[in-house]
Amino acid sequence: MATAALHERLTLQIPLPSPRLAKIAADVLDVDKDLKPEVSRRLISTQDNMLILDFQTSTLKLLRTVVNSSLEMVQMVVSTMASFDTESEEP
Amino acid sequence: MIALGLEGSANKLGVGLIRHDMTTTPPTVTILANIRHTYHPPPGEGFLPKDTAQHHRSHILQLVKEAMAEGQITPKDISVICFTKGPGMGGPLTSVATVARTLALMWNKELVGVNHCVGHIEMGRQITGAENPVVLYVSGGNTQVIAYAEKRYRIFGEALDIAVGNCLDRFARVLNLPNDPAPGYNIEQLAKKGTKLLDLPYTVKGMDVSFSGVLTYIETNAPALLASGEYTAADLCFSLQETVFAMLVETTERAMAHIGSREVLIVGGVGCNKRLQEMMDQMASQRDGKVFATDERFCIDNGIMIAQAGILAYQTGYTTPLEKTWCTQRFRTDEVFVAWRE
Repeated sequence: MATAALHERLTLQIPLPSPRLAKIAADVLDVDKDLKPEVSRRLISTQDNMLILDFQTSTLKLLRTVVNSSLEMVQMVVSTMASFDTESEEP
Repeated sequence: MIALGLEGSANKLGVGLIRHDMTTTPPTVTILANIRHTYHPPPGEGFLPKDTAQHHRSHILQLVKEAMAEGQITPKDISVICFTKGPGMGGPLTSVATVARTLALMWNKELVGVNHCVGHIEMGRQITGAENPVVLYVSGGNTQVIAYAEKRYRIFGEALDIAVGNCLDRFARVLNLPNDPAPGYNIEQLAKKGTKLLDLPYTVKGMDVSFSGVLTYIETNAPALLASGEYTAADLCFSLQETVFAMLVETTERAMAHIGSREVLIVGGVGCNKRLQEMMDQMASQRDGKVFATDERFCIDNGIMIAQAGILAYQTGYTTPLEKTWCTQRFRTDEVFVAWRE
């Protein structure tokens, strides 16, 4: 059975304060795998302090859905870091 | 050692900090903090996953800060971070797990994913000291009769369709009862004023129970019964509780007879219900047995139970690698290998 072509694309580049935090964000987010990879895929990577999210979906609606929920989780990660990162406190 | 526990599988968001002082035998257990924030939808409504997840995301960081302040704990004091892996609602679970993972990676701590049901059981055992009870786990999301055997919490019987708490909560919506502090609590209070017993469908199938029939019946007939003046809302609450609780007492008794146990431990939010405790106590006394229950700090979903179950697993060398810290809506109680018990 042919899989749907994942025409709809979006790339988000989110700057984090440091490469360490970008890597942590990527690792945290990447645990949750795509629910339906045949119609919606998310690739997570980093480049220096940039968190990069690459979305590929078969429809615009799916794209909006996955981007929205991903951003909710990114926001959760980033606020957690802002509240609780200890490394930045070390002299 | 100290464990941080994060719980958010339904509408209750809980953060707990527990200390196990390993210098004594058995270890001395101290609760350093146990705080909770609950999402209450308006009367007549239930809580939906998206709103619940948003509630948890809005409150979790503040709760973690408060818990650490109350316990006077800094990140370096924490030995392990425990979170609810499942079962429960997907979005809420993942929102909380995301925070657990982030903290673990920032602070360089191990993670333990905990089964929500096992959390309830372990906290019940810890608080009450019950040796080897039949466990009745009753909440909005779960209804199981459980007994421990050979490293697993075995499910002897369960609700085949909806949990007893779900049945009660959904009937509360029909009556437009407030969801604050909990719909079940408000049904319990109203039921105390009930005097007339309505004959309702009673469905026990061997070791299992079924609530969708009695819910459909009472949802369908309540408006007419109330309008006729024959029954008050209090009478209906009373009748529903008496019926569903009797079903639970029957199956719990069956399990006690099967394994020859004289102890019942009631855990889960519905376990706070005094009428259920009373009915269970009447049955248990007839069998020369005893009922153990905890108060709302521990029977309602909380973070400390996750910390407790998590730290017990951690002490056996168990951790959850990061790539396995995903959450799951279905997670059977007997899937957990209970390494910390004989």
